[in-house]
Amino acid sequence: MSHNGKLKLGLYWAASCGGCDIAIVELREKILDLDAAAEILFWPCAMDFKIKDVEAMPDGHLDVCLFNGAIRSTENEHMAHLLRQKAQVLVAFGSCAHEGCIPGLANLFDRQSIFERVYLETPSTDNPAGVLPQLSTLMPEGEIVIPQLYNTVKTLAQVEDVDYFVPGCPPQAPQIWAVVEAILGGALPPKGSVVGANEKTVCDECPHRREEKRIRRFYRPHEIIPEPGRCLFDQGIICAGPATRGGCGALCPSVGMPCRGCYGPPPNVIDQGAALLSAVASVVDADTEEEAARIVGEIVDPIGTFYRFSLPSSLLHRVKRIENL
Amino acid sequence: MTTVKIDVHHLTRVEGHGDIVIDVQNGEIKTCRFEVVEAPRFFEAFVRGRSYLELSHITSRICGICSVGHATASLRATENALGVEPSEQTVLLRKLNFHGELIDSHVLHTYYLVAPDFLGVGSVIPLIETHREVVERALRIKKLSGDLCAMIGGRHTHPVALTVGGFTHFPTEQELRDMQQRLIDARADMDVTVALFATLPWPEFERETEYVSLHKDDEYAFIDGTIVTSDGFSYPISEYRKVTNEWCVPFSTAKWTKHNRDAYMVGAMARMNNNFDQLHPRAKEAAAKLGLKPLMTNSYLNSAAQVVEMVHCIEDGIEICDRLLTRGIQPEKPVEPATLSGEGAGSCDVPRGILFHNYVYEDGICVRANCIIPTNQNWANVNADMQALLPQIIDKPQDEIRLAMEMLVRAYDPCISCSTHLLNVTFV
Repeated sequence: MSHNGKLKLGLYWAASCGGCDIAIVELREKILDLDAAAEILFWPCAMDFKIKDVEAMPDGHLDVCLFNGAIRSTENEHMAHLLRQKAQVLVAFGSCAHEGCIPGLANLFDRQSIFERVYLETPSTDNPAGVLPQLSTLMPEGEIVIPQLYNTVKTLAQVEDVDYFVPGCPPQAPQIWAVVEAILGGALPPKGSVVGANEKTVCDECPHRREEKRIRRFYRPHEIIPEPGRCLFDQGIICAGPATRGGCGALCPSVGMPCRGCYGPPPNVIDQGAALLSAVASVVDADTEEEAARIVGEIVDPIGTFYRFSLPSSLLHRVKRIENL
Repeated sequence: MTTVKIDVHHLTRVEGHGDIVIDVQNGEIKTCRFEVVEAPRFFEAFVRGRSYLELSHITSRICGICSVGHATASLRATENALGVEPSEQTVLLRKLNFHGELIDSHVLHTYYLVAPDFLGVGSVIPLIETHREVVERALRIKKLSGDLCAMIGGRHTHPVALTVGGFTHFPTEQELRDMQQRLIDARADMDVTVALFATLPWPEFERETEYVSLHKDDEYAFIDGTIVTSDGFSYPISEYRKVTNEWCVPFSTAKWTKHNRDAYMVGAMARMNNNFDQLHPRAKEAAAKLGLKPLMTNSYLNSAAQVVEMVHCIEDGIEICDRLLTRGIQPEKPVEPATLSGEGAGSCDVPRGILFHNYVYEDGICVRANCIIPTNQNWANVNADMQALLPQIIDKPQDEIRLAMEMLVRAYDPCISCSTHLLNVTFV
C-alpha cells in the first residue's frame, strides 16, 4: 500500500487488441471508486509513464499488476519479467494473457510463413525487393533495433510465475469489479486460482432450456433460426458452453450466438478443445461409423472452433508441421 | 546552435505501442521519426482456414476499441464475396451500432486521452479531483454509447450478435424508444462538450496533405460508399489497393501506405474535409462553434473534428431510431449466401479512419485475407507532420518539444494495437 493507504496498481498490455484496457474503462462510474481506493502507477494506454519509471521502482513496489496480452515478442517477455519483479501480485488479465486467445491461432502457422503472407503475398503490398522486418537496421543516424517476434504465441504463465488468472475476451466489467473488491478486501483465493469467474460452466448460467441432446446434423447459422429459449447445442449449433468456465453471464447464447469459449476451460479441465470435442462426440446420434463421420464432418474448421481461444495454453500448444493451405 | 536529443521511448496515452525519435545536432535535424514497436498479431495469416461465419468474430479482435468497425467491414467483405445483400433493417441496425462505437471511441480519445494535455496533467485520473464534472460527463456519454452498442451487438467490446447477412438478436421496440430518449437527453452533454473544446488552445500548425475517406452523396459515410481523396480521386471499394499501395520498411513491423503524394491522412478530419456537406445540421453548428470548416490542414484539429462527429452520430442515431420505429423492428433470418466461394472487399470509415478487409473464400473457408487498418495509413503522414513541425519549435525547451510531438501523434488517435502497440519520444 502507498503512504495514503491506497492500493498501488499497474496495468500493462502486451500483444493485445486494447479491449482489456477498454474493459477497465467499462467499469464506468466505478472507475471513480477505483480511483478512491487505488493509485494507478502505470497504465501506458491512458497515463504518461515511461518504462524507465517502472525500471526505477523498487522490487515489489506495485501491490498488483493486471497484465493483459499474449507474449509475442522479446519486448512482451521482457515486460513480463520486469513487471513480475515490480509487482507483489501478477495477474494474467484477459484471454490473451490467460490462454493465448485469438492471436494464438497464429500457432497454426510458423513465423516464416506468416512473414511471407503478411509482408510479401498480401495483394495490397507493393514489396518487389522483398523487404522483411529486420531485428537490426543500419540507418544513416545509427542502428534501429526492433523486438524479435517469436515463432510461437505464448501465454503469460508460460514465461513468468503468475498469481491469478482473470478470464474473458474481454473480461466482463462486473467480474472485474468483483476482483478489485477481492483484492482491496484481501480476500484473494489460493495462488494459481482463476478469479473473476465462477466454478461452473457457461451452460449452468445460460437461460436456454436444455433437453436430452441427440444431434443428427450440425447447422450453420443461416441454415436455421434457433428456436428462442432452447439450447443452441440441442438444436445442432456447436456451442462451447459445456466446455467453458462460467462467469460471463452466458452473454453470447443469450443473443442467439453460440459460446466460443473465451472464459477458458471449466475447473478441473486441462484442455478446453478436448473437452468440447468430448461433448460433441457424446451427443452425435449415429448408428454406424460412416454416419458418425458424416455428422462430425459437418463441423467446419474443427481446430479453429474447438481451440478458438485456448490453442497456446492447450496440450497441443501449436501445430508441429506446417503444410501448404 | 541548437542540439536536441529526444527519445520518447514508449509514447503513452495512445492506444498502442510506438516511439518518437528526434535528433537535432547544431540546429540541423538529423532524425525525426515515429517508430512502431508493437508486436503485430498477423491476422491476415491465421484467418486462413477459418469459416466465413467466424471471420467477423475473429477480426473484431484486431482492435478492442474499433471492434464493431472491424466486425462490420469484415461482414461487408464476406457479404460481397458470397453474394449477400443485407436487408434495410440490418443496414439501419449496423449504422446505429456503428454510431455507438464511434461516440464511445471519440469520447475516450477526446476526454480521456487529449483533454489532459490541455489541462496540464498526465492522465484523466487527476481530473477526478480537479475537474470532476468533466469526468462525470465523459462517463455519462460513455455509458450511453456502451449501452447502445450492447443493445444491438449483445455486448459492447467484440460484438456478438452481428453475423453474415444480418443479426442473431434484435432490440425490442421499447429498448429502441428508451435509447432514442437517452440520445435526445445527451444533447445537453454534447452542447457543453462542444463549448468546452471550443475554449481549448489548439496548437497552431498547418501542413496540407491528401485526405482519404469514404463518401456517399446522401449521407455522411461510415459504412460502404466510394473511396474519395481531397486530390480529386475516386475509386470503388473493390479497387482499394489503388489507394493504399502498402510498402515495407525493414525497421518496422507496421506497413506504410501512400497514394498521390508521399503520405495521406485518414480519420475524422479527413472525413469532414471530404464530406462536410453530409454532416447533420446540428453537427455543422458544432463545427462553426469550434471554428472548423474545410479545408482543415492542422492535424491537431483531428480531435476537434471528433467532437463534431459525436454530435453527428447522436443526431443521426436519433433519426435512425425513428426510422426503425416507424417501419417496425422484427427478428429476421440472416440472408443466405448465394455462393460459398468468391472474393470480396469491405470498407468502413471507423473512428480512426478508413479501413479495408478483403477475403477470398473457397467452399466457405477463407483461403486469403488482407486487412488494412487506419493507423498504418497515417504513419507516413505522422512522420511528414513531425518533420514539418520540428523546425518551427526547435528553439523551445526540450519538454515543450516533447509535449508538442506527443500531442501531434495523439491527435491522430493512433490505435497501434490495430496494426499490429506504446509511444516512447527518444531525444537520442
